[in-house]
Amino acid sequence: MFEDLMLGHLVDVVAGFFASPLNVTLSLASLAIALLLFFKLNDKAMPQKQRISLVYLHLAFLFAPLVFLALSISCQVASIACAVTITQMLLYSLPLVIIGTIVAGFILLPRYYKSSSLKAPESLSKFVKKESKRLKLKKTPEVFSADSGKPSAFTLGFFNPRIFVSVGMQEVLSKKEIEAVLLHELSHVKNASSWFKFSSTLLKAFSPFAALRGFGFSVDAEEHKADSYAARRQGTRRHLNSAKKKATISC
Amino acid sequence: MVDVKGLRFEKLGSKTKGLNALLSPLESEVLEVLCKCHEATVREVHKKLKSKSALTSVAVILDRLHDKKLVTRKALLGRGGQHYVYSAKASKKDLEYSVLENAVNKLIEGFGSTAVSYFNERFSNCG
Repeated sequence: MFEDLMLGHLVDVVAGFFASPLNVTLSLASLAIALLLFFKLNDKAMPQKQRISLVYLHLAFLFAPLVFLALSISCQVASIACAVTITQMLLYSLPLVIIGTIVAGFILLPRYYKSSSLKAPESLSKFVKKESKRLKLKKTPEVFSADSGKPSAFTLGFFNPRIFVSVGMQEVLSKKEIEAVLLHELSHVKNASSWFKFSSTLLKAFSPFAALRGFGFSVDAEEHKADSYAARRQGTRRHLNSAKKKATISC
Repeated sequence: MVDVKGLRFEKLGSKTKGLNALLSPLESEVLEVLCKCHEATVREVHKKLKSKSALTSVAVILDRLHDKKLVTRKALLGRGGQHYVYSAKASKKDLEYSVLENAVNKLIEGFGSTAVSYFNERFSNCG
């Protein structure tokens, strides 16, 4: 009974929404802008940060018709007030899920890793500070020792970037190899790679256009760029290659 | 008693015996080395191993044993950065006792008085 009421209500709501020429025009315009922005994402000559901003604009325009639809629902019959609320909640939920993912990925995840990590040795922080100046980074990334015996290193955060080097990584790598890893991570900070990778995942997860066409967001290219920077800075690929080899060996 | 809930008991009773049935060969070897030397770093364990495994593999194995709660570790700051000092939570024999206790407890929890009367019967026949 309630399901029939809900379904009937939803059909009425959608039909009512599309009966208005203004709503249809606004929704189509929004979708057209989303599509244009999506194709603009392929412009590899565009600065990285600008391309990342386009991902979020694309998602905002893509989901705007859903918000228009939710806003257009009004309670015409008192008895279906509950159905109205549920329909509105369903329509608002998708944009809210996206916002929740962004908050979790950018704020909660780096904080979680920071809280479970140890303070990095002074030598690593000093090296990162020196190299950050050379790279002209606005903010020197903080360095932490991730509390894990497995060799790994990664960067999290965009406004407040943090580099995590696991204790396991420090155990198995030489000084030069660790420096190569830090240079690789610093290049990621410079290119906003963690934001880039996160945005790329978000786009793949929530935009149907991403499934239709490759959109030139290559994570491999980011890795190559970071490797090249580390090798150039050290004048050899030897340390980077041996660090990578050690980090990928497992049992 | 050592917490051995992280171990998988499915292989118990197959061709390999004792703790070797529950751990991989390298895990077992690393644990044995650690039981003998009381406290050791990854590099120290690596040096004492008979099998020629990579240093990274030893680091990963020790991390795995830590996840299984069979070893404890503390992070120390050294010249080359931070490193862990690992120590076994118990001797190999104590670990085997813990595994047996866990298995028997599970049987008693699952079968109650039937398991108890079975053990009575089984062990009186053994004597």
